[in-house]
Amino acid sequence: MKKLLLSLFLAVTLLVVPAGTALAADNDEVTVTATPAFICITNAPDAWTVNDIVGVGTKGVMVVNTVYYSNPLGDCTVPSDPVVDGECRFTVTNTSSVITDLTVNFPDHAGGDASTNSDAGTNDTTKFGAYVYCTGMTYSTGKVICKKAGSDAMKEDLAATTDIKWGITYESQSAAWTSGTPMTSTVTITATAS
Amino acid sequence: MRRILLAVLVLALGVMAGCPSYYEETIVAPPTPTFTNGAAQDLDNQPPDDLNWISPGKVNVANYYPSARAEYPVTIHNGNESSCSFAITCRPADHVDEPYVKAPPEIQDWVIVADTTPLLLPRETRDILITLEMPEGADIFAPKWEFWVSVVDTSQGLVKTELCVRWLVAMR
Repeated sequence: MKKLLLSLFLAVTLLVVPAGTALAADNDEVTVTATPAFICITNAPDAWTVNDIVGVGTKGVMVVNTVYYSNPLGDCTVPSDPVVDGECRFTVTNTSSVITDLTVNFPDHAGGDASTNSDAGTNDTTKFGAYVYCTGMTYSTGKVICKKAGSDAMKEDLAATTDIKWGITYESQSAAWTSGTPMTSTVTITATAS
Repeated sequence: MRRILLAVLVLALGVMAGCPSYYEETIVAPPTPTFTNGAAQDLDNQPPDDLNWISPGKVNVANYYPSARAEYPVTIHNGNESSCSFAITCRPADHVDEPYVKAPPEIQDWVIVADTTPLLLPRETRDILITLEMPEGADIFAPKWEFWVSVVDTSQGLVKTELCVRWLVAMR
């Protein structure tokens, strides 16, 4: 009977132990790691009315098929190569502890004629085009298409605790307005670790 | 003797029943980032108390596979002088660096945000747990992919800031 018990014990042991070992061999752990860092930016001002900085024609009213800039030197004044601070309406104050990328998205309008973003930088009958630019950029060749979502980074590898100024280029739709009422959109500037 | 045999059999069955029929992943949960942890390596660059910030900047997930869980909190600080509501969402990355690719829109169904609209008191810092759980049988569309966890202060105007945590996922 002792032999029977011993055999039984060994059989059970063989059943259990190898199974565990075999399972452990395939037990690759999912690992999650993160580096201590914080992302912190603010942006000012928090609004822009097209053609309302200086005003071309009727201040605050945009006409169709026209390119406007959030340029304090003039609503239809093309930024220089390279762009200087004075040509940028917005300031990002960056207090992040790490190098960051800044990305700007410009969704479709709501209200009024509800122009949609062409995602190509150019306008169309019912679509507007948008670009973004920032200080130091060669505007003519470096401006970045501002899409409704998934834009490329406007500024890559912005050093920690370094501020930057930036602006928007907006080309209104080519077809005549039909509603005569304002339309709005919420532009988002996103900060991510590089 | 029969009793002993029976006892051994019951014991053996009990042990076997306790063995996993499949292996379970072990999630290595790093320590939760805290207010000071965000800049522990640079004492001259502490997170500001009077501005909104998030931590960390990147979360790296390795050895991932469908049905596995990966968790990490996003730490949010409300720098406003009043209570403020934040919107926390998961979304595809705007842009990625090779060899990573953008996660598909379905990522929004694979990520659980413990609290999508937390209301933070003035100067409060809070951890919100983010859980990635790709369904079993989901298509492994790329060996390395990325998505972003977005944090937005909902009190902002029409030109607003968004702070994002990059989640970089490497499949096993």
